[in-house]
Amino acid sequence: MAQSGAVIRPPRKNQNYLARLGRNIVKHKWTYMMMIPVLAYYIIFHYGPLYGVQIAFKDFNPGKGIWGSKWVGLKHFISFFKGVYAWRTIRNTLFINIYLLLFGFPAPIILALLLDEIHKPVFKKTVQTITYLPHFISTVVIAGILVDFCSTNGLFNQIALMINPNYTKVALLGKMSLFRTIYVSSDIWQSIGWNSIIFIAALSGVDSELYEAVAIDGGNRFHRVWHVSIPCLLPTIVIMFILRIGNLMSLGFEKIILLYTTGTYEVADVISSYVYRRGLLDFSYSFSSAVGLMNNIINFILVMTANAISRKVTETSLW
Amino acid sequence: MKKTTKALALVLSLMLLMSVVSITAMADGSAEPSKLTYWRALDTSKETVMFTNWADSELAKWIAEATNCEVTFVHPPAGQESEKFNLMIASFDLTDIIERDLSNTSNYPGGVDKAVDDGVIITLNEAWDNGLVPNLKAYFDAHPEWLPQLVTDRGNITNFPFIREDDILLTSWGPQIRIDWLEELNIGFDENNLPSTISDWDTVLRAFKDAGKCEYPLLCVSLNSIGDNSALPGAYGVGWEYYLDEEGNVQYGPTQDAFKDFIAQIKIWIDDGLVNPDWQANLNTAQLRQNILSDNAAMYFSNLGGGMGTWYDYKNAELGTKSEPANPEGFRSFALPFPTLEKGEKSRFGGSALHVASFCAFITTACEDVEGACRYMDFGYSEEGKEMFNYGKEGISFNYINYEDMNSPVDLSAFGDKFPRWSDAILADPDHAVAEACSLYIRAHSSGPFPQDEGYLVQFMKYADQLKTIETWNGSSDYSGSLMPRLYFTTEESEELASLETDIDTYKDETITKFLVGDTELNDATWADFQNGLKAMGIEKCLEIRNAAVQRAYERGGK
Repeated sequence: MAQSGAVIRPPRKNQNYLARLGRNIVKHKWTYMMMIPVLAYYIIFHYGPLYGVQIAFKDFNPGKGIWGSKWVGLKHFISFFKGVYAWRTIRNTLFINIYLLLFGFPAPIILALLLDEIHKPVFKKTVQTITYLPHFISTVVIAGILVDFCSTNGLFNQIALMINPNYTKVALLGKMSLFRTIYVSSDIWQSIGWNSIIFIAALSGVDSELYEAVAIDGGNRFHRVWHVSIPCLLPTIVIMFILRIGNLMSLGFEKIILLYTTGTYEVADVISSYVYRRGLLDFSYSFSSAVGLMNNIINFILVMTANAISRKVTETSLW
Repeated sequence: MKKTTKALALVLSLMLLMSVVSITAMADGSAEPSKLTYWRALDTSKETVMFTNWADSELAKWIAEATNCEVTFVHPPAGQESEKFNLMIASFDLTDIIERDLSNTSNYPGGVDKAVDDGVIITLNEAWDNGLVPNLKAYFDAHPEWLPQLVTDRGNITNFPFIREDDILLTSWGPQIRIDWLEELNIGFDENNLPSTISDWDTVLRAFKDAGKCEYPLLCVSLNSIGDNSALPGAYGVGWEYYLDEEGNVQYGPTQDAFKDFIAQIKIWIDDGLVNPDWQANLNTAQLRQNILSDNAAMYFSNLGGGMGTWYDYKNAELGTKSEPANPEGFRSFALPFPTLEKGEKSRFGGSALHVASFCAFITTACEDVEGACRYMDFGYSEEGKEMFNYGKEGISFNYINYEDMNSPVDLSAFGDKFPRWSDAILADPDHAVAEACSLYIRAHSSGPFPQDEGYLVQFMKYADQLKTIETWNGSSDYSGSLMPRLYFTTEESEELASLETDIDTYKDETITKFLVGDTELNDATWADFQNGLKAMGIEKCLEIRNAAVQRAYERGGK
């Protein structure tokens, strides 16, 4: 399009970038107009608020406004790292995220592969619907259900008692050793269906001739999956993996604070829940911004690194 | 023709009359009503059952009418009160009036004086001097001994407080027991000889367990409920967190040696299966109620009205005996004295409120009609307003009766033949518990900008057991010595406290939990570790700051 014109007629010296852009805009005005909402969204909701990032380096006071508050340099960053629990919360955030990555990341891929092997549309659709329904339940409700199920008279204890009459009931959420298991497995239960959609979509685009080729070569189902489905999914998997890596340092506080108890702080207290207790409940806006900023910078570095490695090794990358 | 003239004259004179009437009406309507916005959280256990906006309640309409104000209420959704309030402050999009206790530093770090400095609220000192809040001023002129509880260290008067006018209103929470089970056990305890020491508790808890009354006799809803209001640690003479010792100095319970004995005792009860393990899982009010009503608990801590009264209502509703103010069949909850170590002693802990119980409502810097806002808020402290907040309107929500017709343990003789008794509109609502139904007409059942009257409490106590409860609780606790005065911190102090106490709280909660469940063995060495840990985190600095604030409070006369 625009490029082909440029090839035929090399740009004149006096034609600067803006003039060319202007011409291009006139020429493709509808395309550009369609872009406006997207641009506006990013400018208003993603670049505009960057102005507020400065409160991480200030003692923000709502009465004085962002600009009027006093600069304090790195005070809040230092205050976070000086806290006794800083390293514990970083460790817990990483651990829970790594578990989510280890167990939670492959789960939707496996589900997608299994569903792809089912050729009864009714059954397939039913399974799909059932698995992604939990995604629409709010975290508060999920946590409420979990608290009920895990209490001493809850479902899980009742089941255990039915299987083994000598079993002594315990408050499962108070057990340090079980917290991560409960957190991660409930997360998988809630997100498996929803996260599998993108893989199912990718699988539906696989050329059926490839499967026929496997059949002709005498391959069984396992061969089909191993030699066709997975290689075809790989680019999607890599992209999703890189995105996932970018969240390694962040974990929402909602579910954590709904589920943790004083007995499980040791393994459950993450950066965001600590900031919630320290920052939000105590109005330390600047403190929470500082920790949030630090989190994002680390996440940004992680994404960049993962992307670079992936580009070198697999030739698939985000950019 | 004549008829027409007559008719015309009649019409004309009527028109004249009407115009005169309308002119008079305009003159009578005096000023335009003040338009105000008002932020407040609704009581989710009582009020939200009846309405979603307080403007829909009868009481709000009556007050608006009496003060000539038009008020728009903004209510945060249940469970998001803190977030919505913080958001309002952060965005500085303030309503004219805010109802939230800003003196509580967990609601507003730095407290009231800081909120004034931050330009969130205005002080009422000017309004006080210029007669804009005549009723509030008159009220404190009549009770000068409470004025220091209202004024901050810096001499600011900032708020329209919630006042518990009579001593009897100060304790509304405490330990309770299934007295019907206790009497069945036949181990020497009954209504007139209640378990009052920790060793009595031990005996009774074990007896409940052995008799198979319930699996876990003692129900605590969370770790903090084990130490709530220092009721149990109070038996050992220490508080659960900060408290005043006998010399009037601030102490931190967990740093006291006696606290270890308390933890050791609770641990024994937990190990022997006497405590419901769900204390680790933070049960909510509904789960507490469900456990109690389904016979899963024999001893627990709860409120008089919202707890005991509501359970009785539920039980009666279940049994179909709702309208009868009789103790329900097969379920009797009864107050226990606040426990001590020695029989006959009085606990130094238990109660939790000052007369000026909370700093209820504030006028913000966003308010343009300060005079109107003062008029609206000041109403609650007038005789008429106080009556309205406590009882509603005569003939609709209450009627005057002779006090002798009330079966009350409280001396009501001051009321004479003018005791304001709630009407059936509240007491006989077929669909709602009394605590819920009264939300339409009064606010005395929770808190608000007015003095709470003891006559209100008597209304509430529909059941004979409730009447005895207050006597038991008040009679067993002499808590005023241990109660902290209202403290004010400077900006530097509150910042320092915020950064130290988050970690201290985490460490304390966590370590105590580990002791209780046995993850860490409780012995002299581990206890010393705990003490050293608290010291390393700066507990001494916190005590120093708090002691300085207490000294300032003493100088102010706040205690």
